[in-house]
Amino acid sequence: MTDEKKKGVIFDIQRWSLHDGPGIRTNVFFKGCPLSCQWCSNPESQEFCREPALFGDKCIHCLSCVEHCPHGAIHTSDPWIRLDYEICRGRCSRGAEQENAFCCTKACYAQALTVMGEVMTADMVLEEVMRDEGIYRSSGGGVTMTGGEPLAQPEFLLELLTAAKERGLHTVMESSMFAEWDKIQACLPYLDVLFMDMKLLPEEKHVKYTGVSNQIILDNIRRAAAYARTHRLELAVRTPVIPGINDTSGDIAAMADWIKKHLPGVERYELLPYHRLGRGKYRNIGREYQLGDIVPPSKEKMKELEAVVSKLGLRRE
Amino acid sequence: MSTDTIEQEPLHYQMCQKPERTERIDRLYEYVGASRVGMCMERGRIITKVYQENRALLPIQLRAVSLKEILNHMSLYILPGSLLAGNQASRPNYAPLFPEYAVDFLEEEFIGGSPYYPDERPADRIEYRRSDMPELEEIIRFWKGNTHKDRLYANLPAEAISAQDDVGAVNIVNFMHGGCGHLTPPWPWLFTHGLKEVIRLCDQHMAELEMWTVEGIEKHRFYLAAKTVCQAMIDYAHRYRDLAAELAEQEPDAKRAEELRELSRICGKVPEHPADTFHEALQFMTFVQFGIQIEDNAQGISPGRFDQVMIPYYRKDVEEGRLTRESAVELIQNFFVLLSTVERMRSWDDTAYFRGKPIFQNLTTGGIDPETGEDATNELSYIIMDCIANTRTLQPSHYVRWHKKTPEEFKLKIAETIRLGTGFPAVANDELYIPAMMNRGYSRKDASDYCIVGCAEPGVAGLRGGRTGAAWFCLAKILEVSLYNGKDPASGVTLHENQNGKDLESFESFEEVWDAFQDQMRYYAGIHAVMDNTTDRLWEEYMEEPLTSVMGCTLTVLERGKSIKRGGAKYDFTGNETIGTANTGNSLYAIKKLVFDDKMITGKQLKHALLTNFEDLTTNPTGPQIQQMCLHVPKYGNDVEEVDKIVSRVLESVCEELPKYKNTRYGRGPIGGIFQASTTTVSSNTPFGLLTGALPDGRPGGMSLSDGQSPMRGTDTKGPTAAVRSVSRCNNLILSEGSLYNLKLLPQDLSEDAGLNRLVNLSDYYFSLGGMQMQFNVVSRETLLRAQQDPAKYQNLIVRVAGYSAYFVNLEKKVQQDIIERTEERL
Repeated sequence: MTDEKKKGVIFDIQRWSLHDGPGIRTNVFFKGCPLSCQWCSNPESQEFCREPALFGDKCIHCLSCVEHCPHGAIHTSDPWIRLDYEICRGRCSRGAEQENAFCCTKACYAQALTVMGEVMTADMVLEEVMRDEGIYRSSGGGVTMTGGEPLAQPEFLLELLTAAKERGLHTVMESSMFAEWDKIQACLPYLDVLFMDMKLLPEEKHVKYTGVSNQIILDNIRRAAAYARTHRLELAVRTPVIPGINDTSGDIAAMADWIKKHLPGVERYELLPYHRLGRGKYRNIGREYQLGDIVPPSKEKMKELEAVVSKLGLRRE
Repeated sequence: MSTDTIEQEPLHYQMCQKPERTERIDRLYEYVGASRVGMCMERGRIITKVYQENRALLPIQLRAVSLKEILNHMSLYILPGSLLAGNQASRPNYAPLFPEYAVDFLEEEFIGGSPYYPDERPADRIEYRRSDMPELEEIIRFWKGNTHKDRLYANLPAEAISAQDDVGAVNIVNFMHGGCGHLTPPWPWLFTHGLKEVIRLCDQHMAELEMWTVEGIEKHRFYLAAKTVCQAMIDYAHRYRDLAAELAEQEPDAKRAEELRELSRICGKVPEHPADTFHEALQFMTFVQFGIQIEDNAQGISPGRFDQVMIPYYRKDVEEGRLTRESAVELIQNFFVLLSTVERMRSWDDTAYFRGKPIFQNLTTGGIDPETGEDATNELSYIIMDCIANTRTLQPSHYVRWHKKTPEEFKLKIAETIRLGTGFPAVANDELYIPAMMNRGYSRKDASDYCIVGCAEPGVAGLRGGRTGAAWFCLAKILEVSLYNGKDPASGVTLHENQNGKDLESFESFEEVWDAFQDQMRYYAGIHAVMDNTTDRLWEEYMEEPLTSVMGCTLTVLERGKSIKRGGAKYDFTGNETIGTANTGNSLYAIKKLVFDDKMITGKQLKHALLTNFEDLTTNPTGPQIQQMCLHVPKYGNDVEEVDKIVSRVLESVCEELPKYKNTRYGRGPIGGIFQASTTTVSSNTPFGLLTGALPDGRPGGMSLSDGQSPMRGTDTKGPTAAVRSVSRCNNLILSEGSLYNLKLLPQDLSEDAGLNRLVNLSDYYFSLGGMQMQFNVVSRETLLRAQQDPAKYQNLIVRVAGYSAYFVNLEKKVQQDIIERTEERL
């Protein structure tokens, strides 16, 4: 069973990634996250196990999936088909027989029905990552662990980071920092840059919108900053700016103040404007988007918030 | 451009970055832009008269006298404010008539309105005066039955005509309507000697001829013709000398009058005498460009390595105070605007293969010094990038040569120019082009001096004669017929049965499919050679080009006393254009995977699905299901070795087959004398797509094929790094006629300095992997969709088609769609 530990669930490996660390990079998306932020743009990253997704626009309505599902989870419906996601989760995502799970997707030639998540070994992931080794070197890029929450699969993450470093790759991780400190600490020696999410300061608000308390997170951020003062690790704090939730100058100033006060040595603080590109993905995996119709922050708004940050002596990059 | 467009296009560089031009260039640009494409009768009128009145002359003499009469009698104009002189027809953007090549389409379209009157075409319209039609009819009557095209049809074997007109696997229509072009004159020699010296050399050679020998008689004809056209060029320049002087007299503005007097002086000097200044050299070049264009309606007549050729004049003039960087920029921009007035009339059928304005007057910038092997980037290289960014004309077209020692600063300058999104410059990799040329017999020094003389085809100034850009060779169609034992399903014609006598229903292994494809490919390569060599032979017999020869390969044609068409060039290759490479490789892989490896469907099922265009719902699996299976087999462009290797194997087989054929100049003087392959398509992937039925890669019948060596549109989903790894996996070294890869990037991926660095990194990466050529479309899908809906606001939006750039709104809808679909490599 030791081998089992060294497998992880990955839902995407994206080459030509340009915004999560320096240079041209490959992002490795870990599946599964202990948080459930309402604005999450990668809802398929939240569940730890594999799950089905239906891309309706690709469906050619051949109904071959209906025939092939032994669990009766797929029904004909207009204009496409309807999935009973509860049955899928029970029988295929968490079922005992993983071999034959999701056989509906094999019958779907149009690939309208697919499985989110692939069980992979570190070698499999790195084989894909190493394909662009040549451009990492010239562009100063490398590999970025993101998700989901990479730290939610700590043994696999550590193995992957160790192997990446053995191959001389520049490594970045994006994390919610919601994890046990010793798991985080174990990874730090293998990281060049760590992006730490800080979503909200007030604890009750944090619980309301993300499902968990932020006390562990803030503790971990403080500990990481202390570590970085004596080690070669670049830290950056990131906040997704969500209209109506944390987008006032006051919200942002409070977080910037906190950084100044608690994280000596950390100067990078990046604001990421909320976007709606992930909205459509909720329906694909049979879930509902909870934020409704909020509008992304305007450029002017972002500029105003950036100004608050830079006034406090923090920089974007 | 209204401001709301610009606001909607915050990252569309062409839209939000205003060009920096002097008032003079702005006026020139607007003046030329306001003149629509039209038909000019003059050349047709003059050449008809010459042919009517000189029936005793031999073809080469007739060609020489014709050019002389045209250059002596055509209307001349000097554009308002222009510092340079030269024109091809009576108005900017007017195309001269070349009735000696073909009149059938003139009759069908101008007289008969079939399929359209040229001024009513859906795209590439040509305006003309209805009152000229009686005269045009007379011209047509004289030439009908006695044109180059008529002779070609009379000489080509029936199966070759059927291969073009019924099956649509090979096509040579482009070369039925004009000459061959695709060369660069030896500027340094011409600039330092002048045409008077060429005439003197002709006289000297003639004096040495043994006139009683056949050889002597033939050489004598050539030298006489060469002298005639050189004198005609001098006369042409002198007519501008007089015109400029006359305009100066009438000019109220003293400054402009002085400019015209200076222009008059220069036209009195070049091309007769050597050029001594930058301005003189540029005027020399302008005259020669126009002269060759007027002679034979060809494309790819290229200024070549402009920065290398002009740098001594630039430095000397700057040093001696005659020129500043600013005045050089203005002169070069003026030169660009003049070249942009050149227009080529094509039949409606032919325009489908050449949408937009692909004349291919190529400038090649940067690269290595052939003597030292060191980087040769200079001040002019940077100036040219500025001129591209700010002139924004469709002609000339531009290449840069990229190599390991290209300075980072220049790479960033190139990236900045590319980011603008005009498709210029395309990038050629010295480390591939040079060895690929050497592999076919070029010396290292000559290959190191290459420039691009077409879409992507390499030439060397003064050393390579025709003929690049030969027949179109549609691999996708060839694969299609091999699936039906040689029968073309659309026309029902079988020209050649598979050697193994099998079809998709009876193939027993993938190797049998491959063998059948190879057999058909070899068969059509043979037809290809017949078509090109027949064309060449007829050109040689009836359409020799004295000016093109003596300007294009000056020293060798003078030495040998014969034109390029008879073997006068130092290097001579016939290059092809391979179409649908990605579709062919993807389809072969899909057959291998679905029918033989995974056994998802039988060959019989696939055959039926293809013949019913994936539409039959009564089969199990249904047609649409089979199409989905086909579409989801891994595709070229995603860094999947297995399929990339098949694409590579397909290309290699063409690259190895073609050189087995010799061209009509083999053994008559030039090095080479064989066929070689390229992957340039121009826009022919659209018309060839119309002729090609459903393919095993899932592409339905009629859809545009893949362009160049690019992955099929929409099938490369893993980003640019994966795509360039696939494309570079082909063995480009044997693709000695050039490679063509269109990469579409999003403007936002190139924003800020980081974006420029990224473009440099990506190019370095591709070239380090063995990529040969790359060109870019930097424009978002949204911008193009808006341009389609609101063309008036996007009149000046330039996009890269394949090997050239065109105004997006002037393209036909199908080609627009093709460009929109071309995969956006996105985050």
